Amino acid sequence: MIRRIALLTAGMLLVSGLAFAQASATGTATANILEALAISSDRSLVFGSIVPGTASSDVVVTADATGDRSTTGTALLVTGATPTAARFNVTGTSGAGYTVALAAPTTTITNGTVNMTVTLTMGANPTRTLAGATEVHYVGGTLTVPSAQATGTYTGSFTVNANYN
Amino acid sequence: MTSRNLIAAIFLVAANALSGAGFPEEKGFVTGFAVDGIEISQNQPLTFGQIIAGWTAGTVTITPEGLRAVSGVVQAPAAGFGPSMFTVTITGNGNPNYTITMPPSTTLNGPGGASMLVDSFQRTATAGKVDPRTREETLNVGATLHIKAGQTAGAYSGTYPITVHTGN
Repeated sequence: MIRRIALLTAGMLLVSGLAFAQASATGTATANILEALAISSDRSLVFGSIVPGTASSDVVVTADATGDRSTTGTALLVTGATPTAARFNVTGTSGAGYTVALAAPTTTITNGTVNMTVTLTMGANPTRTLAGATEVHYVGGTLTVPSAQATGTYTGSFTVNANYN
Repeated sequence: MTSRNLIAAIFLVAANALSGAGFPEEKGFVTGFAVDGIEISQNQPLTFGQIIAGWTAGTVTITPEGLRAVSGVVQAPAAGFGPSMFTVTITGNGNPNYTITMPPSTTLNGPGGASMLVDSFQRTATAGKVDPRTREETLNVGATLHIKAGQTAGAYSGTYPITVHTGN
């Protein structure tokens, strides 16, 4: 009986030793720092020289590399400054997806006294994946020219934002 | 376990076998042999996702629940991110409770010797008890990543230890 008690005591010590077990794992962690997106404009949206028509006319410049100009009304599209779509260059981390967007759908151009409204048009594929080199985006627009619009040089500005998706 | 305890255990089993059912209390000891194994393995890494460093320092925190919070001027595009997910398994039929030890911090290394600190590790608040039937529990771990001003662009990675303990 004495021997059995001794064995029991040993057994209890053993159990208390076994009751504590531990295991470890190695967790992994990753992060990807992107090169900041940069967007810059190196060409303006130009509607060129226009003679107002007998009624309000829309003058359209397409949102692409050619920047073709046309009108739906009686305004005369005459030779002068070459019409172009605005061009924006986007750089960033190759392989990352991003989207360009107009900050506002319209903008106002002015000769300092009177204004005209331009409805902006974003070019093809505003959502893309950076392929490593510069991505080029175009913005065209529709300029509404009232029949008796005052002569002058009209200017304005608009904003295009680029964000990673 | 000391060698002395191991020898005692062998004697104990032998005594039990010799004496048949005479020592019901000894069965507990023998059962106790198989109780206390615990395992942990990672199924999914802690992923902070895609981040744009700002002009000043910032942080990105991933919570164990999988939410992401950004501070400072760091922008974080909505790409894949998420906490570490571990499976904790306790073998046997004993106590399903366990405790968890996480590191204070670790470092993620990136291109050209660039690095970022990760700290404030946090885990699933309710973790620490395996399911009594499956003997498993999923344990999520999040943390806070510190991004320096103008942090070098590129892929960063690192490791951290996590330890689980059984016992009362």
